[in-house]
Amino acid sequence: MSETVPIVHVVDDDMSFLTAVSRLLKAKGFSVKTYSSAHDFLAQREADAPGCVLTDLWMPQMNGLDLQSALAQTPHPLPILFLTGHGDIPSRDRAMRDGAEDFLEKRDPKEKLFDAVTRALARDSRDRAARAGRQ
Amino acid sequence: MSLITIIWSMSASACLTLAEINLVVWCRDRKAWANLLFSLTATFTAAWTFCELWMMRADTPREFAYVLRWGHVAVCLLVVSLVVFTRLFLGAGRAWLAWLVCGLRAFLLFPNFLGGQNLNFREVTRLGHMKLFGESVTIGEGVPNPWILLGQVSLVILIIYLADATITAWQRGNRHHALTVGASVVFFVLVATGQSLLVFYGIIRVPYVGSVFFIGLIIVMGYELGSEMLRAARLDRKLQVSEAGLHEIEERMRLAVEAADFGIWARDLVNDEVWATDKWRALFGFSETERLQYGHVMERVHPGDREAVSLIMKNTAEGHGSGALEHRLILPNNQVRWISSLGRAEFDASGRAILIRGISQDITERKRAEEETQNLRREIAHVGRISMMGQLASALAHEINQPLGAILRNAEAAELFLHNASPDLDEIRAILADIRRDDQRAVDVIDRMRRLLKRQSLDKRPVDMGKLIGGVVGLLRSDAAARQVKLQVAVADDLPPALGDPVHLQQVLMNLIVNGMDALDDANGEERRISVSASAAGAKAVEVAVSDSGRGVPADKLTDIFDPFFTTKPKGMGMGLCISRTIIEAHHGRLWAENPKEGGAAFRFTLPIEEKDASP
Repeated sequence: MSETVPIVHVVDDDMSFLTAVSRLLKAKGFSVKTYSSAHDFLAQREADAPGCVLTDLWMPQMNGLDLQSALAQTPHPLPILFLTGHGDIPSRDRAMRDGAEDFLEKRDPKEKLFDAVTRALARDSRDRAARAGRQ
Repeated sequence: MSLITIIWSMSASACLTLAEINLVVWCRDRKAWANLLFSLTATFTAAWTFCELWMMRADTPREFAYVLRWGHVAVCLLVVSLVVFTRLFLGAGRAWLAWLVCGLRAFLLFPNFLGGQNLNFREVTRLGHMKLFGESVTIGEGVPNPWILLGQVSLVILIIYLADATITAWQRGNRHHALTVGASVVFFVLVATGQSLLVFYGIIRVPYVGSVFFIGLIIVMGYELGSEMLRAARLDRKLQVSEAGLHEIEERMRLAVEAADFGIWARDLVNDEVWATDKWRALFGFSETERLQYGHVMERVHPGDREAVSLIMKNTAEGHGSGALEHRLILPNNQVRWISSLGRAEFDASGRAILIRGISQDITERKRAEEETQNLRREIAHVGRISMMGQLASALAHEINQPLGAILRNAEAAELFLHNASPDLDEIRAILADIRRDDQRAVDVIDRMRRLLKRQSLDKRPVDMGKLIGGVVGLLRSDAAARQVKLQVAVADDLPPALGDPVHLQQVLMNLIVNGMDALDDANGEERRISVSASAAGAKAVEVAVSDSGRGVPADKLTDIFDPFFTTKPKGMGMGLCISRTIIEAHHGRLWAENPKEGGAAFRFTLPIEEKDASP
């Protein structure tokens, strides 16, 4: 299996923020794909491709937490990062308990965002290596 | 005693009796000038009657001439008093004719005394005798005095004067007096004058018996005056009765006015004067003796109400005829007092207002109570809104962090792009445009927040309910998610715009959704769901439903929940549904609750749609 460039999958129903955050990540050198809903992402994702998910917590129909559990049930889960307008302790606790890489606020410093994404990609790389070892 | 003596004496005494009665009337009532003049007329008639009797019994020509001379004095006074009486009683007659008659008669006294033995004869040469009522009476014969012609002219002018006065009185509608007094005066004077002319020119040979006709005149005049007196007496009695009634009414009125605490006033528009009761003066802070004009009153009226008071005064005087208003006063001690005033105008014959009468009452206490109620109501509405807002504050914070987050991320991206040796300027331009748009979004969120908090009246316009629901659900999304509630929206396609105030409708919708979430907190059901739907309800309305998967509303509380202060929540105000229903009803819609078969509770409201012009 050839090594491909890891992709940061950004999911947010707010098009404006979606565009802005993908611009920033691209400017930093990440490869980015954007989705306006969790369903879109699940339908379009390439199974077993390297990357991580950066998702908005509150979205209509399927929210971030729903996406997290849906993703966990797939054979190739991806590390997941949450973004939210403002802190929400119960949701944060639940997300972290279920294995989220991080829980960020939308206006957190960009370095924090970059670090979290870098960590998530590194973890994905480790997870993939572990999965490959098991096979 | 002879028959002639009896008849003439009785006539004279009848005249004197009537004269005395009317003199007494005049003495009692000095304004009864007609009675005085009648009394004089009757007295001089009696005097002439004596003269006639004396002449008929004269023994010598000299005696006859002497009596006739003095008889002319009586006739002169008789004519003058008759002229004045007619004028007073009928209220008619030309003044110049009256002066002419009286002047002529007075002037004729000169030839009467100086131009011979009397006005009729230069000299009575002998006495003739003839039979009257079987008795022998004396008639004077001699050289006629030429001045007698002027005397006869004066009598003709008298008749013209009397006839003219009678006709005028008749034309003015005073027909009864014109017919009884006027016509009979003319008739008797005409006959008496005619008789004296016929005697003078020797056409008939009788003594002067004019007094007989004058007696007729006196009787008619006396009868009329007597009737007048009787009528006056009757009126007087009636007046006394009605005065007693008036006093009673006044007394009752005074009691009513005192009980109602009314002040009474009247504004004289012609003389610019204001009359008012002591009570009114106390209300407006004037002393009991102060002279008042409209300007003084207006100085007391609160500056903010002066225009309204002037306007209603003007309208009352210029057509409406009446007006009422409530206004404030500022008393000299700066105390503010509320007054309720009511006024009615009185108009003169030309339709010009001359007077406005009215009442004023102190309503300060009532106003204060009303204001308190009003404030309380506003306070409650505001508190209800604030508590709704409390629940929404976090939603709005989330909402505003979206554009702010986007702005930050865009700005950071632009900075990174600029570090490149050859920055992509098109990309940077796009970023700047996005920043600008997100800034506007943030402003919109703040504006919406402000509108929600503001107490404003309905500003109705066509509202796309799909968009409105989307907006509200968007605001509540984070709250719903945090409470693990699924929000579902179903809006029918091609839904016509409803007519309403979007800000108020947002509040209603938020209130219903938040209520639904509260209901779900109490429920243990596995599915925690709220669905908001909008569909057409007939051709003229839109129906919006907010249904939850909770336990529903107890059947006996389906109507009570809309009552103010009805609540099942420990921290609830019990105002949300009450305010919501008030708002929907102000939109001519209906808000109600039901428990659908599939479970939970459903709150539904209708709104009228915008009326489209029916013509193609």
